Amino acid sequence: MKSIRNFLKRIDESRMIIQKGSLDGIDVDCIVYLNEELEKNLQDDALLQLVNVARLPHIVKRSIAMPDIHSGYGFPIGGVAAFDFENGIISPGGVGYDINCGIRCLLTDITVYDLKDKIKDLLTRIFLDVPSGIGSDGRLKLSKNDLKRIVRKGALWAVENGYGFEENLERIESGGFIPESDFASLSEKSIDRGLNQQGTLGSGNHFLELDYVSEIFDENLASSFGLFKNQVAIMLHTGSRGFGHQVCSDYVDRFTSYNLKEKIILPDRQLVYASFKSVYGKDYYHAMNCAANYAFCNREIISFFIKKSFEKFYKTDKIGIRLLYDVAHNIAKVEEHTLDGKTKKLIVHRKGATRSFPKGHKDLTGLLKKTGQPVLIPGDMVSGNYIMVGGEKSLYESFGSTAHGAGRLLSRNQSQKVAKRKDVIKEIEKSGVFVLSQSRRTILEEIPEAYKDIENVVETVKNAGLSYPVVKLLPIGVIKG
Amino acid sequence: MRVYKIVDDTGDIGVEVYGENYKELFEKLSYAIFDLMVENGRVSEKIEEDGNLDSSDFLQLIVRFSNHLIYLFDHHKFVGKRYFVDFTKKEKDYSLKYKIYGERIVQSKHQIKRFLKSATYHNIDYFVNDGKKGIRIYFDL
Repeated sequence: MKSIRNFLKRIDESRMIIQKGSLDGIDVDCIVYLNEELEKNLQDDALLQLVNVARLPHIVKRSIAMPDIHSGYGFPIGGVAAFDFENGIISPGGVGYDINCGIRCLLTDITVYDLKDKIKDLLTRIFLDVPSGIGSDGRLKLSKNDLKRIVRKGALWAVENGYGFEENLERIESGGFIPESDFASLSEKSIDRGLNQQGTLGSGNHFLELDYVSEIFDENLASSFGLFKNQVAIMLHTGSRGFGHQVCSDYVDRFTSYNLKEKIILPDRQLVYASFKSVYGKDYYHAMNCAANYAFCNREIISFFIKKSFEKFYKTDKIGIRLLYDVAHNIAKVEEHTLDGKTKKLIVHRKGATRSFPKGHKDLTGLLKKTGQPVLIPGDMVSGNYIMVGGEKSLYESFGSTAHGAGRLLSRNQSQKVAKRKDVIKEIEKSGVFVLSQSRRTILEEIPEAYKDIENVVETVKNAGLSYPVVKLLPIGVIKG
Repeated sequence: MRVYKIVDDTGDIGVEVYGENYKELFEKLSYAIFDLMVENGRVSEKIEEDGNLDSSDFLQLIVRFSNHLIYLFDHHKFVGKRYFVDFTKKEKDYSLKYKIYGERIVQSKHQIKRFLKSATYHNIDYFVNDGKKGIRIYFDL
């Protein structure tokens, strides 16, 4: 039998295609953004997941994967797919378990030279103030009514309750909350899991980093975003914690029961879906938005804790901590896109992919309407992170989407095997990065070798016109969840 | 004797468990789930959790049960030590009753290894090997 890889053809230096009609049941093209280097590490099972997405009903235009593609559950990580609003579907597999997992970048007025000798002490201060690690509970004990308000108001709840800042809201994707949420769509288990985890980083690949601006690629945009050489910035990666996971599990279970009853057989059970306008589809969309709002609130509260840590450490509130941007990379959103010259409402799934709207886009406001949306793409804990800006071509090519990170290369077991051959923490520190974690195992699983080369990912999305680099950040202190 | 085998996955983790019968299969799956998260040796039997679950589909029952144990860990801070499962199959309905002895997690006592956040259907499998029943299941981390 011909391997699925044989159907993949290169279009140009950054794009590959499996053409519609070349495999059974695919009526749209499958596009993968890969340069030749990244192509070497493309997994067949991730490619098959991309093709399976193309087989879903009412998919529009193409099934897309970003350069950080790797195998996920149902959809590949790095997957983007849009479905018709009127007749289309919504799939928990196209969003992921950690609903609205995302990245936020905070800026400071401090330079790396100010921090040089203080990094260990400052990071330890933050480590004590921001709960992290396995099953970590927050300092906020919420009532059911608090949770009801959080899932409706998102980051605004943090602002109203003294854990956030009003000026941050316009720097959060969708203003920090999505209106179509409904508490009634949540299970008792998800409510339980949501009560104690606000304001916590979590575990796994979640992190909090102190970085500095090491390179500037676009002076004008850097200046507009308030970025300058050697400036200290903070990158935060977390999502909706156990709450979002429970929401996803609940609806995968509910959709599975429906499929079993109706005898619907899918190539992969994680691809379960419901018609967007059905009761099932609406319920999932409302529950997913509850979790998305929970995550926006979580990142706002953590930012508040970080600001307090800096102020306690420096004994002043003149650090200038401010939000550059907060983006989701696991979400399904109703957006308008232009298809064949006509504006159409679509349900855009981004599963390990970042929204990348260019300047002038109607959904951007304030300064960002003039500059384009900041895109935050983290690499591994040594190689660094990129702040990019949305590219015009993303609107025509990828429903306004770009990559979300470097993408995993090694499994956690493989990473541990590599890590055990050397003194990992010493090596990371030799690179100028101080690292803290509740669990040594997490550090071993998150070693730099576990990830693809961020430079290849950034080069690919840049050449494809999906987003453009503004600055590069290098880490100096990392808290791994 | 090893109760379960870890199966590799790019971002997450999977396990394979085997049992002489369904009862043993689910008991070993319970052990695997808690042992992946907490060092088993330091867990005592102080409290019990019990309940029942059912489904018309065997794989769905596996995922439901696994996710329920994850919920007990994440919300009730419960970690298991000894497991009893009664499994029943009636025509097209599968059901199980479980009783698990364990205790609440104490950060200073228990060594937490990792957190399984959800059980998934990804490459899930039920098979029979050399007369033994086996399950392969992956977890989101």
